[in-house]
Amino acid sequence: MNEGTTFLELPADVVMHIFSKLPVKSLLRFKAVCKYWCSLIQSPTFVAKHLRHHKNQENLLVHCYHVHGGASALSLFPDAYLAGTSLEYQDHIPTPTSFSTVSTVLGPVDGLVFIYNDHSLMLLWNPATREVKLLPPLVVSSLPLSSPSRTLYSHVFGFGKDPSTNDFKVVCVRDYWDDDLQVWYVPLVSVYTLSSHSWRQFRDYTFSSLRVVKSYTNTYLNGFYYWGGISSCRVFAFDVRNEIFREIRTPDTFKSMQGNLALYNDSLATFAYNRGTETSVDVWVMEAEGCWIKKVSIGPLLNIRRALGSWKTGFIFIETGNMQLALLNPDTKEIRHLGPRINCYCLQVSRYKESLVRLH
Amino acid sequence: MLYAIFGVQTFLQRDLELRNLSLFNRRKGFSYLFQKSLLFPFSISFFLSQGFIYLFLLSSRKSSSPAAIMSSSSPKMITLQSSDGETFEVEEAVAMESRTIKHMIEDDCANSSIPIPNVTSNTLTKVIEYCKKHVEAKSDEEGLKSFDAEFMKIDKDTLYDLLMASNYLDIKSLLDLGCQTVADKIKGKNPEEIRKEFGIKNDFTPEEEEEIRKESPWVFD
Repeated sequence: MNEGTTFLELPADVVMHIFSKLPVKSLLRFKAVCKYWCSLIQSPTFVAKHLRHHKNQENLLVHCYHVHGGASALSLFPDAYLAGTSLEYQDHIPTPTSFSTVSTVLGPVDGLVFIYNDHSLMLLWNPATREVKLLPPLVVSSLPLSSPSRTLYSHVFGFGKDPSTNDFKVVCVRDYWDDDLQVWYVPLVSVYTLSSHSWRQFRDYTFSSLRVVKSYTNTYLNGFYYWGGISSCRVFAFDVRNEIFREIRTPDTFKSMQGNLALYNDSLATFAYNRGTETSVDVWVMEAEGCWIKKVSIGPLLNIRRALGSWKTGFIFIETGNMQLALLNPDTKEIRHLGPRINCYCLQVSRYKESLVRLH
Repeated sequence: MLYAIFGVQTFLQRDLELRNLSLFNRRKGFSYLFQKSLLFPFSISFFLSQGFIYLFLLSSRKSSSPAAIMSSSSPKMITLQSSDGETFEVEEAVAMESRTIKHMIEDDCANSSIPIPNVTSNTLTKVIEYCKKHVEAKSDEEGLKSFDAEFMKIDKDTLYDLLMASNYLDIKSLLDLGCQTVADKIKGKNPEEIRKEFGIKNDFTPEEEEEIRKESPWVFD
C-alpha cells in the first residue's frame, strides 16, 4: 500500500530547500504559520542558504535625484529589467524616514545597506525586511582638535563584513590637517561592530594620512573594503577582520588615468575613462593583490561622464553626458538608458540581493 | 577470475622453467634434448588453451544472458529493488543520475540488486521515468523543460513522495524541480491558507502571532 508522505514528514533540509526559492516577502509572512517555520526561517543556516541560492537574483539599487520634488530616492531595477526581458522596475522603494538628498549609501553587503547623512545620522538598513538600526553617534574626539589649527579635512566611511564571524562593521576614517605645522595629523579611525553595537576609536599610524575618496558603488570584497586615494593612482584596503589598513600596488599607468573603483565579475577593478574629444572606458581588473590587468577597453564613445560599475554579463553601467544612467554593451557599444529618462539624475548604483539578515 | 588464470599460468610457466632447469642440471645429452622438445609443443598448446579459456570468460562477464555473449557492446544493467519488493532493471547511466546509487556502484557494493528501502514501487517508477528522460534527451533543453512541466502535474502526495525519494537518492535536478513546484504553489498564500494546505497546527498564542505581524505589517496585506 502506498502511504503518501505528508508535508509534515519532509525533513528539515528539504523544507529549507523549498523556502530558499521564496522571496523575502513570502518568508516574512510564513513566520506566522507556526513556531517551527518561524525558527527555521530565522535560523542563521537558512538565512545564509537563502542568500546564496541562485534563484536569489541580483538587482540594481540606484540612488537618484529627482528634480521634481527635489528629493533623492532609491530605485530597484530587477535582473529581468536589466536583461531587457521585462519593463518593470520599482521606481521608489520605501526608505527609512531619515533618508534624504544628502544621504550616502554604502554597500550592500549580504543584503544590508549603510546610510549616512553626516557624523550624527548613520544607520544600517535591510531594504527587504525594512529593518532599521540607528548607529550610536561618533565621538568627536577631543584629542585631534586639541590644537585650534587642526581642522577636519575629510571623513570617509567603509562598510563590510568580517568573513570569519559574519559580523558587520562600519569604518570611519577622519583626516586632520594642521594649518600651523602644515602637516597631516595621524588619521583617526573608528570602527563600529554590529554585534557589540559600539564604536572603537584608535589612531592608525600606517599612513601619514589616508586621503581617500568615497566610492560611488560597493567596493567591499571578500573581507576587505577598498577606497581609491585622492591621487587616483593609489588604492587603499581596510582589512575588516583585523581592522588594519594596507596600500595596494598599482601600475604606473594609473597615474595618468581618471577612474573609480568598482567590482567587476567578483574582482576589484578600476573603471577608467579618458575624456577628451573621444571617450573610452578601460576596465583594469585586480586578479591578485597588486596585479592589475586591462580586461576591457571600449571606445571611442560619445557622451559619457563616467563609468559606474559592471553587471554580471560584462555590461558596464555608465553615467551619460546628461547625467542619466545607462547600460553599455562592451561588444556592440550599444547604450541603453535605464529608468525614467526625464529629470532624474543618477548618483550611485550598487548590486543588491535580498536577504533575511537581522539587525537586532 | 582473471587473476586466478594468470596466477595459474605464471605458476605453470615457472614450473616448466624449473623443470627445464632441473633437466639441464641433471644431465645433458640426448634424453634431455628429447624431453625438452616434448615440452615445447606441450607448453604451446597449454598457453593456447589458456587463451581460449580467458576469452570465453571475458565475453561471458560482459552480460548475464547467454544471448549477449555474441555482442559485447550492450549497456550494463543495474537492478533496483523498491521497498515493496518489486525489481526494476535500468541502464547504468540512468541509475547513475542518483548520486547515492553512483557512489554504491563506484564503491563496488552494487553486485546483484540495489535495495532502495525508503522508496515504494510507484514512486520508483516515476523517478526512473524522470532519470531516463534526462539521460536520453540531455541536450534538448526545450524538450526537457516541457517534459518537466508535464511531469510535475501530479497530486500532492506523489509530489512529496518524489521529494523524499530524490532527497534520499540525491538526484539534485529532480529535488530542485519538486521544491520549485511547491514554492510556486505556496508563494502568495497567507498563513491560514498555508496551515490548511499542509495540515499545520497554529501553536502561537494570539499575542505571539500579533508580535510577528507587527514586525512586518506590509507583507500581510
